[in-house]
Amino acid sequence: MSITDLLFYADAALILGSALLAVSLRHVLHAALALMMALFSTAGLFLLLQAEFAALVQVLVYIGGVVIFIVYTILLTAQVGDALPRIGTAKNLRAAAGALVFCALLLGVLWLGHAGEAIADHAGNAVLAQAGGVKAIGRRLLSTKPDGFLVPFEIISLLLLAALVGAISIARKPAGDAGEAAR
Amino acid sequence: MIASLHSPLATELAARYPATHPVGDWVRAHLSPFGAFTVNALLALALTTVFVSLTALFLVWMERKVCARFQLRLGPNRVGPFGLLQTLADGAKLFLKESFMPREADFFVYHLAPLIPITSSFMVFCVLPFDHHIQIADPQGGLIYLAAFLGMGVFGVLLAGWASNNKYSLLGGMRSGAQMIAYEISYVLCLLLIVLASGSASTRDIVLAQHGTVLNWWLFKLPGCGALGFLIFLISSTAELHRAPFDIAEAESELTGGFHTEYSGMGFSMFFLSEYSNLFVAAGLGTTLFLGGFLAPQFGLGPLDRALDLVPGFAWFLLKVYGLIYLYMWLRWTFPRLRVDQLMALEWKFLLPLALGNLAIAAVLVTLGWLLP
Repeated sequence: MSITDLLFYADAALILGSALLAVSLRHVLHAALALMMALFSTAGLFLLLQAEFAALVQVLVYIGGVVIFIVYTILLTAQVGDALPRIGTAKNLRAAAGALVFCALLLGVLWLGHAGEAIADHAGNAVLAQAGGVKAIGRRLLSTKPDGFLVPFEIISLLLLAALVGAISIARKPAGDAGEAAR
Repeated sequence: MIASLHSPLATELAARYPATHPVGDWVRAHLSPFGAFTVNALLALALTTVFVSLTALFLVWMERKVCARFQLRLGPNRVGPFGLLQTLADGAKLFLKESFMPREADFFVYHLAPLIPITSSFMVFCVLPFDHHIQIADPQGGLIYLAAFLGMGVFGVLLAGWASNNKYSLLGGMRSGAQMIAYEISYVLCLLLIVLASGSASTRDIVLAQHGTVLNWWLFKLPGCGALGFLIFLISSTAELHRAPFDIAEAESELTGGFHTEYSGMGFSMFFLSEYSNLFVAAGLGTTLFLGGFLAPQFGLGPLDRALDLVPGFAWFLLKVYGLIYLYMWLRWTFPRLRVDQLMALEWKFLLPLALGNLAIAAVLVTLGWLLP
């Protein structure tokens, strides 16, 4: 077993352990911290695959963006100090069954498509690492050539802008409540 | 501007500023690749730890001295020459103090929170180029890395404020969380401006892209945009550091210290340490991005340039960094604290549109190739 394998198993154990904690801890803030740990370890997995850009964006977007806002939302809600009510066994079982079905689906895709071998072959491949490098991704994302992603990139940014404007217009109080909103 | 990795200029710069340090080379020559990797990494970690601790000690002393001078006082002058050992004495006192926790506080989060800001500060230290061969790591996406880890510091503040189970702490934590998230946007837009101009996100490449005379520093290039970017960077980094005039998170007179009210002993000193190491990081970042990093200032005058070039790069880096740190301290002891609404209005209604417009104009200038003033 090489060092890479050891690192992979250690990282995978960390991801699975913290993901399990994220869904089972009864305190919301602790669960959010466990989620942060799981997302952070996933960045480590990307690094093992030499996908530097994916790892950095994982930390930037999920830790610096998503989890911060989750924590912020939790802190703004009233009963932060209280533990959540215990979840019934039936509900837990249903959730476990759903997770198992999804897991089986992923494993099926990996085995049927021989994607597992392909991933194993490409791990640590220098050419692939170059293709996943920051410069290559940046060029291709904004390229107007047929293999470029300029149009989808712009469409996604428009979509995000629309979502932002929509969120503001939903959160905004109607004009009649202006006095109350200012307070 | 480094157009491509294989241009003659880039090759010449790489030859003039080799990336590997003699010590690292010696270790690599005498050990197996894995052994050399381990030894070099441990060496770098040990050096960073020592450097961060000493820098923080010195900066606390410097802040007290600068503050005293601004208020026509003498500052610490009893322990050691010029009071230099005062911080060491204070540190020893903090180390010996009992570290106690409020009864209803959350044990795990309370003890985790002080470790997060100092960790993120250490992570950022790894990509700061102290000299062309003194840099722990130089990832291709250096500035994405910086943005990712600078943003993590806010966790420490938010979690500390919540875990203390004290309304002043929670208020301070929430205020500072909102402030850091808001100002991070214009902060990152400034990083983006430099990526756009130098065509690279690696900190080393950004410094090398500024070689030449002083006028080649990004501060003076891109007529107006570079200087405006530096100004926005200075304001938003002051807010990120929550130093006055943006210190409503701590606001000693209203919140009795904000998020770290309930921390004593080592917990408090961790926050204190990270505050000053982050000050160094912010100044180092400003130096790297706008002031030519480790490059010696050149004025286009033959003998003077050669004389300035004899001074090693890390000396220039530290000189520029301490110049910026002095500027931060100057700001802190000159301006009064802003109100919360003024603070938010400044970012969302003024700095953010300004930074966006600056970036748009800079993009046009870069596309046209008008880099020089």
